[in-house]
Amino acid sequence: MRLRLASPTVQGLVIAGLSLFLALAAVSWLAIGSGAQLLFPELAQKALAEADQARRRVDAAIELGIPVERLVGVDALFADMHRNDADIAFLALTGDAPGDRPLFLYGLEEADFRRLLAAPGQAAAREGLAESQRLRAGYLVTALPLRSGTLLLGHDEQALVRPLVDNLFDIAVVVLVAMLLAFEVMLVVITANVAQPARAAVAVLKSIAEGRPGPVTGTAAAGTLGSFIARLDVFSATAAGQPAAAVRPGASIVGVRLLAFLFVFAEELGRPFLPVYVAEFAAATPQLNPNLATGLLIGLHMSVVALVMPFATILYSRLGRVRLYAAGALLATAGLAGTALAAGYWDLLAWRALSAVGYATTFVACQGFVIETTSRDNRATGMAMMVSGITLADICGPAFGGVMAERFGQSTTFLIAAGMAAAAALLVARLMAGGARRAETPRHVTLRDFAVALRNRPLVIQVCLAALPAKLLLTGFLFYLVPVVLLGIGQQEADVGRIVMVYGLAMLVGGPVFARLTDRWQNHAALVAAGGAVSSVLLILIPFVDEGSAAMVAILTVAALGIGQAMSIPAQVSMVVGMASEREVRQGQAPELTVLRFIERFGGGAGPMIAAPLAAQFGAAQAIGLFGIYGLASALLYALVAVRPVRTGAP
Amino acid sequence: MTTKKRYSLIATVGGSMMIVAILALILAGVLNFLRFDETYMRLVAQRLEVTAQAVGRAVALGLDLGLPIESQDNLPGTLRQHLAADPDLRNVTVHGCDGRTVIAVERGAAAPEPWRKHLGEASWFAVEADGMSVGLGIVGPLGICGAGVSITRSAEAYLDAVNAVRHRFLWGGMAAAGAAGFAIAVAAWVFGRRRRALGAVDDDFARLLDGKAGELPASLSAEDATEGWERELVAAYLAARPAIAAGPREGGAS
Amino acid sequence: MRRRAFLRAVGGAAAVATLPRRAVAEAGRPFRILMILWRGETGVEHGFRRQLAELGVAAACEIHDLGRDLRRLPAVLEEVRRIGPDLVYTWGTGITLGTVGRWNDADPVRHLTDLPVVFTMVSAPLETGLQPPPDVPPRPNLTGVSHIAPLRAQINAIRAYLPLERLGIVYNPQEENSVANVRSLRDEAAASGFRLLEAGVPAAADGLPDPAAIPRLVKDLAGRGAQVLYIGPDNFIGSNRDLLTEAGLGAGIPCFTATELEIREGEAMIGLVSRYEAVGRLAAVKAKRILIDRDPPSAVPIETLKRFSYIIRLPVALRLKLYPPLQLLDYAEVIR
Repeated sequence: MRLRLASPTVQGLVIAGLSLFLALAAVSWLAIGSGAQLLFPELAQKALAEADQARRRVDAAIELGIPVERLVGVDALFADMHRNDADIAFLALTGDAPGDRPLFLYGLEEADFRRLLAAPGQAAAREGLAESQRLRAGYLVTALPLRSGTLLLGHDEQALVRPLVDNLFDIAVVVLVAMLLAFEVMLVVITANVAQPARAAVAVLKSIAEGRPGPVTGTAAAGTLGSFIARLDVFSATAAGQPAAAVRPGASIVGVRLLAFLFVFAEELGRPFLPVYVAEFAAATPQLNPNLATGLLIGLHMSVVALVMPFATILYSRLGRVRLYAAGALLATAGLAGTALAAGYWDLLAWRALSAVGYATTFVACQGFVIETTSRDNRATGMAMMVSGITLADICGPAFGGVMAERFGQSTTFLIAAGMAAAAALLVARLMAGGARRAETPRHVTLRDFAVALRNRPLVIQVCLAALPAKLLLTGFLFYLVPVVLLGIGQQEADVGRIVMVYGLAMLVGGPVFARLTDRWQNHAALVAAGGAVSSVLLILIPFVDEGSAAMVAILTVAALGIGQAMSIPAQVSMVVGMASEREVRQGQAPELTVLRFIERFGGGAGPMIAAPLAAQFGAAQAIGLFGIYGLASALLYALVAVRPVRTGAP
Repeated sequence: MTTKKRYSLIATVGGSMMIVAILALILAGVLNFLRFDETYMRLVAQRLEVTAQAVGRAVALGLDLGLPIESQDNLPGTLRQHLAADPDLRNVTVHGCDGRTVIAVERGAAAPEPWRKHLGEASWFAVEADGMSVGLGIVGPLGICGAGVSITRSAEAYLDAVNAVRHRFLWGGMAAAGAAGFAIAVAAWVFGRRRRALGAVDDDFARLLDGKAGELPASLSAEDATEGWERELVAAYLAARPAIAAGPREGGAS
Repeated sequence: MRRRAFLRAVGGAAAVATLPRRAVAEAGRPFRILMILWRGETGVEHGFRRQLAELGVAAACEIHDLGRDLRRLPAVLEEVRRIGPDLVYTWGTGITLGTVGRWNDADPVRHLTDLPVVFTMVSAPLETGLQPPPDVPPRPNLTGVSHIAPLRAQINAIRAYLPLERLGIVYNPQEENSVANVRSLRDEAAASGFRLLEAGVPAAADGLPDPAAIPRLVKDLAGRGAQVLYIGPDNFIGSNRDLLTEAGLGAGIPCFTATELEIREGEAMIGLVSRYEAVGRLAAVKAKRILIDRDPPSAVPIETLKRFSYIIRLPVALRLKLYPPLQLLDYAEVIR
C-alpha cells in the first residue's frame, strides 16, 4: 500500500504519533521538574552531612597542631569523598583572610572558583537549605568554618536531575516501541477494513466491466467504502440472478507482520542480558565451566531452532497454521516463563530449548501462512511483510527488554516476554483467519538438498566464507560478547539494549539502500566481500579500547556490523538465487537456498558456543578481536576466491 | 448503518491507539517514578553512610586497640554527637557480631533491629515501613567480624515526597492521557472522514442504481483520490460504469 | 564478670587432678591450658582469656612463669608431661623454641611433640625454624601467632605517611636475626621499588659493635638521601635506640618501627605494631579450633593479625614538620 502525505491514513498516524510523543514528553518533563524540587532538600542535607564530616576530619588534624596550610592528604580526602558520592564537584579550604588564594582546591579551576565566590548566592531560592549553604553558579556550596580557615564543599546542582534526564533515553525507547506498535495496529485495521475490501471491490468491478457480472465481494467495510460495497454486492447479485460466490476469502497477509513481530519481540526482550543471566546460573552449578556452559546454552537456542524447523514443517500440514502458531506461541510462553523462574542451570537449559521449539514452530507457521495466502506474484511482498515485522522486533526488542530489565529485573522481563508470547497465541486466530487457497506448504530440508548443494563449489565458497562468518559474527559477537563485555564494565541493561538495537536500525536503514545498489551494480561478489570486511574490521580494534570510550566504540562497531551485513546479505541471496534454477526459485524449492538458510541457522547456534570458550581463554574483548580477525580473513579470502569468477559470469 | 459502520472504524482505530497510548503513558510514568525513587534512595543512603563510616572508624580504632565494643567508653558520646547532628536520625546503634545491641542512642521509641537480616555483610541499605537504615560490618584486627554499625532515619520525609510525586504523576499523567486522547480522537476522525472521490463514486453509484443519472459527473475523477486503493477503485468504477449503467436492466430482463 | 572471676580462681589453683583429655571435654569440665610465660602475665594473656570466654570456651589456665630465666624451662616441661593438659601456651621465641624445638630438629625427649602447642609473641616463626618452610608439611602439634607485621605491610605503612624511595637501616652485622632481616628488606626493596641504604655498625676495639658510631652512620645515611630510618629486630640497636632516633631527628629523618616499645618509649615517629591484647585474642581463636572444633594443630595456620595498630608519635612529626595525612589520622593512634 502506498502512503502519501495527503492521505488521511498518514495524517491520522502523524497526529496520533505526535500527540503520543508530546504526552510522554510532558510526563517526563513533569517528572524532571518534580524530581528536582522534591529531591533538592535531600541533596542539601546530604551535602551538609558530608561537609560536616570533612570538617571534623580536617579539624582533628588542625587540633593536633598541624597548620592548615600544611595539611597532607586533602587531595586524597577529596578523591575519597568523590568516590563515595559522584555528585561532589569540588572541595576547597581557604584561609581566614578573605580574598586570599584558596589553600587547597580540588575539582575546580581557581579562576572558576573565584568567579563562583563572586557570584551572588541565592539562599532563599529553594527550600531546605541550611544556614551555611548557598546556590552559586549551578553549584550547591556548603561552607563550614574550621578551627582555622573555611571548608567549602560544592555539589553539582544538576546531579539531581541527571538520572531523570538519563531516563529520557528509556522514555524514547518507550515512544519508539509505542509508535511502532500503534503503526502495526493501524496497518492491520486499515488492511482488514479498507484495503482488502477495496481490492475485492476492484475485482468485482473488473468482472462487471468485462461483461460477466456475478461474483460479490463477500466482505464488509467501513464508511463510504462500506456503503459502496453493499450497493455493489446487491447490484452484482441481482445481475447474476442468483446467490453468487464471493470473490475471495479475505485472508489478510498483513496480520503475519504483527504475528512475526510478537514472537520475535518476545524472544528479543532478553537479548541484552541473556548471557549474564545464564552465567549466574552456570556459576552456581558446580562441576560446570561457567563460560562454556553459558555459550552452550545460548547457542543451543539457535541450534534447536534450526533442528526443529524441518519437523515443524512436517507438522504444518497436519495441524494447520493457526493451531501450529498457537502451539508454538504457547510453547514459547512456557519456555520464557520457565526461563524467568528457573531454579538451576539444567532446568534453564530445558526451558530455553522449549522456547526455541516454540520460536521455530511459530516461525514456520508464519512462513507457511505467507506461502499459503500469496500467489507466486506477490509472495515476495508477503515475505517482505514478515521480514519487516521481524526487523522491527529486532530493533525494539533488545532496547525495550533492556529498559524493562534495568527497572524491573531480568526475571520479570522474561515474564513480560512470556506475556507477549501468550498474547500472540490469543491473537493468532483473528490474524490468521481465512481459508487456505493453495495446498502448498513450506518445504523442508532433505539430504538430497545437501547433496545438490555440496556439489556446487561456488555455493560452498559462498556458505563457508560469507554466510557462515556473517552469522557467527552476529550471534557470537552481537548476541554473546557485546552483552558480556558491556555489562562487565558496568553498563546497564538498558544501555546494552540500545546498543544492540543499533544493529537492527543499521539493517533497517542500510537494507533498502544496499538492496537497490545490489540491483544496479552487477558485481555482487565484491559487495559481499566489502560487506564482510566492513562488518568485521572494527572488531579487531576492540581489545585496544579503554573502558571510558567502550560504549561509543561499541555503538560504532555494532553499526558497522549492521551496515556491512545489510551490504552483503541481499547480494549473497541474489548470488545464491543465481546459482539455482529459476523454476525452483520461483516455486520456493531451490535446494541451494534451503541449504544456505539451514547452515546459516547452525552457524548462528555455533557463534556463542565458539565465543564463550574464547572469552574464557583470552578475555571477552580479545575474543571480539579474534572474531574480527576471522571475519576479515574470511572476507579477504572470499574476495580472492570468489570476486573474479563471478565477474566473468561463471556458474 | 453507514454512519454506524463509519464510527465503528473510528472507534477501532482510536480505541487501539488509545490503549497503546495509555500503556505507554503508564510505562513512562512508572519508569520516571522508579528513577525518582532510586535517586532519592541514593541520596538518603549516601547521607547515612557518611555518618555510619564515621562511627565505624571510631569503632575500628577501638577494636585495633584490643578493646571490645563494650569497653569503648567514648562510643556512647560519639554516637550521641552524631544523633544530635542530624534531626532526621532515629537511632545510631553499635551491635555485636551475633546481632545483640551493645550501644544504642535513640530518639523516640526503640526501633526494630534491621541489622539482624544483614549480619556478616560489609555494608547494607534497608527500607522498612517506618524507616530507612544503613549498616556497616566492622572487621576487627583478627580479620573476623568485630562489630556492626546501624543507623536508622525516619521514612516520613521520604513518604511525603513519594506521595507528592505520586500525586503529581497521577494528575499529570491523566492530563496528558486526556490531551493525547483528544488528539487521537481527532486523528481517528481524520482517518475515518469521508473521502471525496470515493464519496462521489458512491453517490454516482446510488443515482445510477436508481436510474437517475445518465451523465458522468465532472467531479468524479481518479485524480481526487488520496490513496492508492482509492484511485484503483475509482478507476475500476469508471471502467465498469457503462456496464453498470446497463447492468440492472439486463438482470431485470432475465 | 562472674565467669571471669571463676576462671581466674581456677587458673590460680595449680593442682587439678589429672584426667585423660577426652574425658575432660566430655564431662563438660573446663579445658586445661598450661601457659609457659616469660615475664608474668601480660596483655596477651588477658586478651587470650577474654576471647576464649567470648567464644564460649570454658578453660582453666595454669600459669608457669619462667621469670625471664630459660634455665627453668626443662623443669616446667617435666611438669607439663606429668599433667598432660589439653593445650600448651607459650610466650615468645625463646620459650617456644625450648618447648617444641626447630621443625627439623625436634627431640621427643627434650621437646613436646604430641601435646598441642599454641605460641604467641614469636617475631619470625619461619626464620627461627619453628615453622617449616612452605613446601614442607606443617608440624603436627604446633600453631600460633606472630606479632610482627609482614614486611610488605610495614613498607605500605611507611608509604601511607610519606613517599618512600630510599630507606636507611643501621644494624649490627654480628647479629644473625638482624642480618636475616636486612636480607629480607633487600628482597622487599626490589619488589616494592625503593632503595635500601645499609649501614652496618663497625666493631670497636673490643670486637663488639661501637655505639658511638651510630650518629655518624645516621649522618652518612642522611647524606645519601635516606628518607626514613628502619628499626628492625636488632638487640644492639634496641639498646641504643635513643642514640639512633636522636641522630635521626638531628638529620631530619624519622624512624619507623614494627615493635611497640620503640615508639612507646623511644622517639620513633611511625610504628606499625600489634597490640598484645589482640595477639592474645587471635591465639585464643586458634586454641578454640583445636579444643572445640577438634582441628589438628597442623590444620590451623600460623598467622599474624589481619590489621595492625598504626601509631604516630605527634611531637616527633611536628618537630620534623612531617605532618600525618588526614587519612592516617582516621585510624592511627596518635601519641601526643
